[in-house]
Amino acid sequence: MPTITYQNTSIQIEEPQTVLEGLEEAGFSIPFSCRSGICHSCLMQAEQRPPPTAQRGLTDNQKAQDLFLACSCIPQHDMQVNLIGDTTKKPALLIDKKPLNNTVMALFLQSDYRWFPGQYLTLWYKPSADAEETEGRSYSIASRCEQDKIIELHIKRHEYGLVSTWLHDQLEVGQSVNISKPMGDCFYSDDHRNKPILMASTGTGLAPLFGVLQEALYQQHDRPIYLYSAAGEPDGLYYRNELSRIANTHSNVYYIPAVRRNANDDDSIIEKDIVDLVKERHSDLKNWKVFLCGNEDMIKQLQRHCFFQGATVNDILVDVFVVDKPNT
Amino acid sequence: MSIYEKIGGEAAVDAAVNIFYKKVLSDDRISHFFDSVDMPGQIQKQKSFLTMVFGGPNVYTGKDMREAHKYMDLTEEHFGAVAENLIATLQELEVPQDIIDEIVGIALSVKDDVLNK
Repeated sequence: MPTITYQNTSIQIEEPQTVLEGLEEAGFSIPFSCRSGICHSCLMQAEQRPPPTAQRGLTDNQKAQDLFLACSCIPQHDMQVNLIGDTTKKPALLIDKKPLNNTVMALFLQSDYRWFPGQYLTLWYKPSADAEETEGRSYSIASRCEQDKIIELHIKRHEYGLVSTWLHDQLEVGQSVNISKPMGDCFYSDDHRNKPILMASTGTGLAPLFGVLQEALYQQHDRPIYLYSAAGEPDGLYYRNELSRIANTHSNVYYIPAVRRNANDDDSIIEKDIVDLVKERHSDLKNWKVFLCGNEDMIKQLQRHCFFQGATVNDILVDVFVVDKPNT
Repeated sequence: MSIYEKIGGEAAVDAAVNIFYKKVLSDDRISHFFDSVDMPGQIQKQKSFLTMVFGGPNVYTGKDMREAHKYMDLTEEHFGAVAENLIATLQELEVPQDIIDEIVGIALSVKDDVLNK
């Protein structure tokens, strides 16, 4: 009889009982609604590969993360399961810091998590050894999960941002911070391989896209990849040399930096709103994969555009950046 | 055989949901209720709704319907707009009229719950 482990409790589940029923019988309250695999209210994550029948109707990126529906899961083997948004923390060692422009700093953290580049994690503010960790901020991952397990994050300094100013000014190489398990849907997976890809970002929304781009190239993606990176002014852009170099050495990669103002004489930058620019250049997105990362307004407008121009909802992956509120 | 089975079950829902969602997003009377950045979540809700009106596996109880729509201040006009878009979707998919009538009947059966009457 398979054993299910949830929150340190082990429960025996016998066919035809489902994980949802087993957990409820053991006294746990798991969100649910339809109990027939349609509403996805009881979405959970397993540490092991879940049975295929428990993943019916999920997107490829959800399946890749071992997500499953508790109401449709009759376990065939032992499973360790969690609700989505697991908040366990692990320390990560800061091994390098590198300014990318006047306001954005790259942090390089060594960690033993596994991740898909483009996913995000929560980093916990801890200004002193005995401080309580009550403030966390989410950042997206710009690096591939290679053997050295180095997570690259791009931190924009917000003038009154508690966490961003601490990360910029105080946290030093050699110190550790606590981070949560990387999560989220915004990453490259197998079903992208034969599709052209459109990516658009504002500000540090470039971080997850930089990760996705590297993964796509590592997987030898040979369909076109368009990467739009937008900022208010030219000095808000970053990684221009790296991205130009990638575009110059891969004939299928197009890098398009765009600013709202002051492009002046730099003809490698387009002065135009990114939403208008993408709308103007991409009117047929049937069979495309789309990644949109950055501010909510850009995402909302382009998400709608892409959906109406033929991309399916599951093929539009978004990562909405919410800015820290000023600390009042 | 239920309508759900007659029109093709889950595959019918998948075919209908994209068409239906585009229609409600383009309808100024109701688009703001559906205009969330969580599009996959919205699609999931539309799928649950369509599964219900197609007479598929029991998704919602009247109580769920009431709870979910309680604070949305919905009017007859909103309900009518959703019904119109539903009918237009079914017509576009060439669902026979007698089945459309049955589906609309199921939608009407939850009207009081949705409008919190």
